[in-house]
Amino acid sequence: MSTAVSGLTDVAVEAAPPRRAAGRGALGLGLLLGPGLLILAAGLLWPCLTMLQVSLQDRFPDPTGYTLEHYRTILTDAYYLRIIGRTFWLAAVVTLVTAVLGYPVAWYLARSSSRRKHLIFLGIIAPLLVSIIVRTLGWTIILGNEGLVNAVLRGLGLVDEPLKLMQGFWSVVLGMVHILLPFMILSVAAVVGKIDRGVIEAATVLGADPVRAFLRVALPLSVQGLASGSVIVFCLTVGAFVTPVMLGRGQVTVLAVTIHEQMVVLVDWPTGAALAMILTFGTLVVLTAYGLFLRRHARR
Amino acid sequence: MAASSQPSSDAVGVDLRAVRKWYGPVQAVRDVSLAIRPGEIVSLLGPSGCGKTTTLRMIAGLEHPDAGEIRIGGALVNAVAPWKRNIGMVFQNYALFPHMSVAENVAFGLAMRREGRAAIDAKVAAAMAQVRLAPLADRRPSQLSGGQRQRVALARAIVTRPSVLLLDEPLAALDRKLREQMQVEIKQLQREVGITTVFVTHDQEEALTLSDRIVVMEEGRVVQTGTPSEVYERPRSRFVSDFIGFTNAVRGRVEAVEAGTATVAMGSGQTIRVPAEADIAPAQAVDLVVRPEKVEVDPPEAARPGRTLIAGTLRHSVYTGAVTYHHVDIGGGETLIAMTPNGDGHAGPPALGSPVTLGVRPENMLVFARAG
Repeated sequence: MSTAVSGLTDVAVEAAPPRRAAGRGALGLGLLLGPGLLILAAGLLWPCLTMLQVSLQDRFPDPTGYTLEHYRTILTDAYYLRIIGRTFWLAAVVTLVTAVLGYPVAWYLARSSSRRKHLIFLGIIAPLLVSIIVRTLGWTIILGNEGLVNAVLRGLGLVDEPLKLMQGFWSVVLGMVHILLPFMILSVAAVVGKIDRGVIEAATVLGADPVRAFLRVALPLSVQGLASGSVIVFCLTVGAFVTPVMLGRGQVTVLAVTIHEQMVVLVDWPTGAALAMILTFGTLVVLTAYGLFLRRHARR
Repeated sequence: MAASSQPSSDAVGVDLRAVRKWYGPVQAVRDVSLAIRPGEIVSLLGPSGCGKTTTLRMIAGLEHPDAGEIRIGGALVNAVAPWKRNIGMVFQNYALFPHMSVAENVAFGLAMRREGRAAIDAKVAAAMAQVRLAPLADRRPSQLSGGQRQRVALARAIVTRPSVLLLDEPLAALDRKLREQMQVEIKQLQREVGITTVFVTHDQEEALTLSDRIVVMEEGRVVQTGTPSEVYERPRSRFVSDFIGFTNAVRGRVEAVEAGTATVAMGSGQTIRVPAEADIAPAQAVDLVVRPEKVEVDPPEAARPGRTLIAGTLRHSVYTGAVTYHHVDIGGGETLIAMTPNGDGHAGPPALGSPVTLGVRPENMLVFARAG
């Protein structure tokens, strides 16, 4: 995913002070960068290349040649196309919802007095200390047929039959938003906190009502935070496995689930690998386009 | 009094009546009343925390008064949102929009007023020329020097032809030389545009240089309002005399008061006669206050009649180029500092340790009752 975000990291890097030339000591530099780059290469680059290779083999193990057949099958099969579409749609929706919900919280967090800030900050990161599986299970308890929401609704006599809250796309969105909101908030807060309060006031005095002051000044200055938050949330959602499985109850099949199925259940490695490549490449394309879009609009 | 500025025909006045502002339990502004005339340039001067910035921000609408009235051009604006007040404001750190070019910064207020593209371009070009920024139109604020940013902020504030221009410590971030240059530029610009201007400063020199009138504030109150020379020459309190310019203060005790003249005994036992306000009574502890440049060292015999004369011993002299400061021990542990210009033909200073006579015109010696 490191290359996938190149367009966006450029946006983020612009604000950083120029790096000091390393100058002397190529050996020292190698020692400093080596271990990190080695782990990246061994843990990311090599598996990616292996995966690419497998996805192009006609069968696995014991390939007899290379073929694009698996890609053709996937990209012409409505079943797979639906899953691909659903996966990216889910990621887009979750990213948008976390951005909309997280932005005001980030703004509030960044502008709070330091003491209150610590409390809010703690409240935001505390959920990260609980594993995703536990938090997702919590949602099944709340949303299930015998769960909290249905119990309350039935207790109030508002519904007779339990609402089917759990088997849909939107319960997965809810669970994903819950898990990923802190990443968005912290990314945005880091940038929003550096916005000079004076520029908002300057816009106001110059005749901008609150909406226009937000759209013309506050939002453009927050773009870097929204961009980095979106990258994190989008990537984590696109590759999500546990939450779609647990909150989707088999109804919300996403790429990660299908890949797992192909590789572990059906033991069709080339198709699974091709799906994984499509997931990675698709994410790269989406994020690059998004990065270019934001760059253009940040310049306005 | 505001004769130095030519108010343009559409300049408006700003009136504050008994304005108050609390921040929690702290009263930042206490019953401030001000009448700022159309086209006038007025400074709010005082130490940090005196309420001057809060007062300015209330005129802008960025803070809301808890009590009192604020009028711009006669119209009550207490309930008018800041974006509808038609105000130009220069912030202390300029608050330029970092994501916009210089030209876009200047154009912002016009765009908010939904002016046409052509009108905006023409006005922006004119404003940028006025502050000599035209070649920098496409730069980002981050690529500008402090003085250039200051000019962008000024151009952005005046391009919309606001009814009032507010400046919050406009020069505080600049170095001394640039500050003096910008003082002149701001004053010239203000005269050209003829706009009613209020600026906040803690720098008395800036206030004296730029203002038609100075409003001195202390702990949320207005303690004196007047032209620079009134405030400097006739401060109404110890606070004002200390805050504006350098001053001598000598303790004394009132021995007698008759017909507006007090006889005051100083620590050394010397007595002097000074004009006194009504609040000075016999036996009162007072401060005698006099500016160093009003104190003459060994005035010629012909000039002595009518002067208050104080005997002392010259302790040391500090030469600073244009002027020399003489520190004179006048007994009782008190020192008076006299400032003498170093013009040509001046005799050298008396030898250190020699007795000297100091002369002060009675009207230049101010008496303030001492608190406590």
